[in-house]
Amino acid sequence: MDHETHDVDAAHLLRTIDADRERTQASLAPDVRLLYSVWGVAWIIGFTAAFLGSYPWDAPILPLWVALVIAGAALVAAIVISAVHSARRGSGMRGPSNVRGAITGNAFPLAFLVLGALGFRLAVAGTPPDAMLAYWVVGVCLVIGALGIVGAAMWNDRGQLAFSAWVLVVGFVAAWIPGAFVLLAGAAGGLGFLALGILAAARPRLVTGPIVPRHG
Amino acid sequence: MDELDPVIHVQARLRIVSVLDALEPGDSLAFTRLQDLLGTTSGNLATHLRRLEEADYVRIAKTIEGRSPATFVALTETGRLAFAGYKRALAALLA
Repeated sequence: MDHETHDVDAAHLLRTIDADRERTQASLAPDVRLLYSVWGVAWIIGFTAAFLGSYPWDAPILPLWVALVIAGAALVAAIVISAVHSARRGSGMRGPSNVRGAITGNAFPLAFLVLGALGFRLAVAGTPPDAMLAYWVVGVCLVIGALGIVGAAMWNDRGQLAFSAWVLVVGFVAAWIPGAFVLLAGAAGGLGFLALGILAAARPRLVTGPIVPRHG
Repeated sequence: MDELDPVIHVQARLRIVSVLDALEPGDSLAFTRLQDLLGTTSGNLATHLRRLEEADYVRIAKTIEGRSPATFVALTETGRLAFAGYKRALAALLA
């Protein structure tokens, strides 16, 4: 093989290697556009329903139980769709990643359990309802945002970093919003997820892929 | 300059190693999933995997999942190092 042929082959082979790596990682990881959209819609429906069930205090637009059923259904639907999608994408893969994924995945419900226990304690102790609403919205954002950022660092995942950072921003802003309007911060957070989904489709390099280049 | 490793320097095997190297170290992939990703026949894939296994570049584990047998393939540390050396050799050819 002469030198020139060698050069052409090398460039082509390196491109093939990169293409196979990218295709493999994309096909095994969840589609962030789907996850952003599903969670965006769930947050908008859930938090808007919760707002309508709490505002105005004395005569809410929706009965509280109806609002909670709608919010709960949106949350369950989002969890089921993301879990099924992620499991399908990751099927056929096993090893240390699965164990780490199970640990981080279970950290969320455990953290929500603790959040719920503290919320119950605060409510029983007579915390005013508007402060309780802020507690729930900010608490949910804190759990999802903080655990998500750690997960993003662990998986070197830019999409998860963008998502989690946005959730923390929503939580920080929500902490300063009075009364039931704090719930609208959650709905606005959902709009942000949809915007991230559009960005992921239009400018994938901005909000998908690794945070720092992988080895090789 | 590193020589191009003849075990890896065959298109079908290069693609197998590229896919397996994209996994986290220690992770393995089901034979059927690997076959889907590469778009190849099972016979062809099995032949090249055997060659890679002989060189200790991949580890093949047969297990039972539910009631059906499943085969999982992973890149060994030797394979990962060999692939890194192969890419270095390619890059050196371009320099």
